[in-house]
Amino acid sequence: MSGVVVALALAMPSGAVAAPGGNGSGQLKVSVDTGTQLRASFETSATTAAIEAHKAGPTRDVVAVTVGATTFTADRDLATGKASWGADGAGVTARDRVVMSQLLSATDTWRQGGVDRSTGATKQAGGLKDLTTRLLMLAAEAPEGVAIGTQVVDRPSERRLEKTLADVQVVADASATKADSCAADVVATTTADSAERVAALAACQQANEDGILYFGSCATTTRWLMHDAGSHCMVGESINAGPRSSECMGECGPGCAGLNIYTYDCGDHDRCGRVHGGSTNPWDSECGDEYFEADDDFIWGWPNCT
Amino acid sequence: MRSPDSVSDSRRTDCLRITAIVATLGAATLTSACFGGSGTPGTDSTPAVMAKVGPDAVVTQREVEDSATLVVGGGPVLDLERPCARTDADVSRAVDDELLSLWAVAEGLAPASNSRAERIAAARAQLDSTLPSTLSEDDAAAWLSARESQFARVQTAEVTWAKFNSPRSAWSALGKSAGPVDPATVPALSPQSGTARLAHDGSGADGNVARVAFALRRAGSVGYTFDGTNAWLVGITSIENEPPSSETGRAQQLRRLATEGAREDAIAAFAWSLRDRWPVEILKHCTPESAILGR
Repeated sequence: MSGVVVALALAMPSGAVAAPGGNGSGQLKVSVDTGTQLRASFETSATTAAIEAHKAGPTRDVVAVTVGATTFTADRDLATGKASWGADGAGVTARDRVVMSQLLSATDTWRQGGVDRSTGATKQAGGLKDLTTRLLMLAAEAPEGVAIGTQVVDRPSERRLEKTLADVQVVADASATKADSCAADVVATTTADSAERVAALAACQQANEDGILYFGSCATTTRWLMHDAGSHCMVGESINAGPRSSECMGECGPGCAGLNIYTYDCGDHDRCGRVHGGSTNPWDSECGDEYFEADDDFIWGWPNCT
Repeated sequence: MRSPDSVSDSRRTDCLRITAIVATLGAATLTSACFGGSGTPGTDSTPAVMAKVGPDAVVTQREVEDSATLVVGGGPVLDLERPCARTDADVSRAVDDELLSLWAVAEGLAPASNSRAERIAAARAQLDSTLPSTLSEDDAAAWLSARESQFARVQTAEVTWAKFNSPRSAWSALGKSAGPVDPATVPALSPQSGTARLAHDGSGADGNVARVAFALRRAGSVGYTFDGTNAWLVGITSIENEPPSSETGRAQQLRRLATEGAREDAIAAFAWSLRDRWPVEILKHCTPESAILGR
């Protein structure tokens, strides 16, 4: 295989090796936790992370999580419904994702902070820990190589539905070229006169942004999930999803350790990750569209399944 | 897990130059050959020692896990031609981190009293400061071209597959040995098996079949994964990639990935050079059986 060469020329001093001291403990150290302010540090043996969060108003929370050289921020106001998040144009690296995943494990109890799981979708003030957890889960699943600017994610509409083929909505797509190539793909991969073809052709004209569309129930059953990798259109598939499915398909967050929020956008993203997440190439990431379509679910969704 | 040593306070100024920016694949991908040795077994409270670095430092299983590549959406995918590639790469990454931490102290970039993570950060900051923030278009193209199969998007793939009730069943079907397997023979290994044609989005077969095929992306290869319930063997008989995308967003993403990849390659190559100063001995090695059975 052809390659090109990197060479680092280093003048290396001689001398005794200094004794290393201290170990990364993988422990979370919370230095401030007053309800209006939250400050914590986290360190593994390889990387450090820091959390800085505060209340910017009675119902407004602002969170910053710094991992390596990247700072992810989120700003959410429960009263006004305004929210945004981003990484100031930075991207997520493979190293970042590892420590974020470990930090999520260390802050596992924070998922319940401010949210009444027993009442399901009942809305309650999330609190600093709640927003921190949501931001961490969102950031940890970001596609590598994509610059994350400020994402405005004001509170979207919320619906609950068991999505069948008949529920796929048709939205006019101004891009005739995309629709044409999309239709060609659908015709090539579906059976003539099948319900799947009808729905997928409709999906070619659909932005596939569901707002927050919760699963109609917490049953583990087949649901219609859409998936788009690359420049092609979306093609739907009937996928087993719900709390008892493999890797809890449909839950916003990693595997079965997510937010107990089950939505179609998160299901779409999970399905994409199932197909594309197994590469040994740590930069493999083809689920950018699904990821950004699910960000409002992460920021605003409320637990609908335990 | 490290024994204290006397502290030597040496401060030298490094002259760190980069003469070319992109990395050889050979420098970035350490050999997956299994090293001998039994290592030091761990206990519930003491992680296993995986490698020795220099006269005193060690790398434990915990450091390997902290430096490992995150797997999303399911189980890791193993290429049966190199079933230990992922594990070996994780160990190498942890060893590189240890070398960087030792170098940071030796060069006065961080005090010995700092944590390992802080010492690594200091070393990486020093190296990062001398690396370009963005590769030129030509350099990015060259870097990607050398890794075309890793970044290409699958158009279609003809696959064979076999499903097993457990990793042990798959291991037994393989004759309790891993190595090159002909994709055409995969369906014969299990009564739950078949062939399929995968579309670009992975449809056409179970998601795990697509997961393996899209991870390997190499005709003639056979891969393995375990989804927590079933084990899967998937062979790729043929594969066709999409032509390079002209979308601006994709081009920007690829350039960022190439920049990040080349930077990591450069850091890894530098860490490799530190083995002359701090010899490395891998104590615990992966075997095909341990990789498949998850031990």
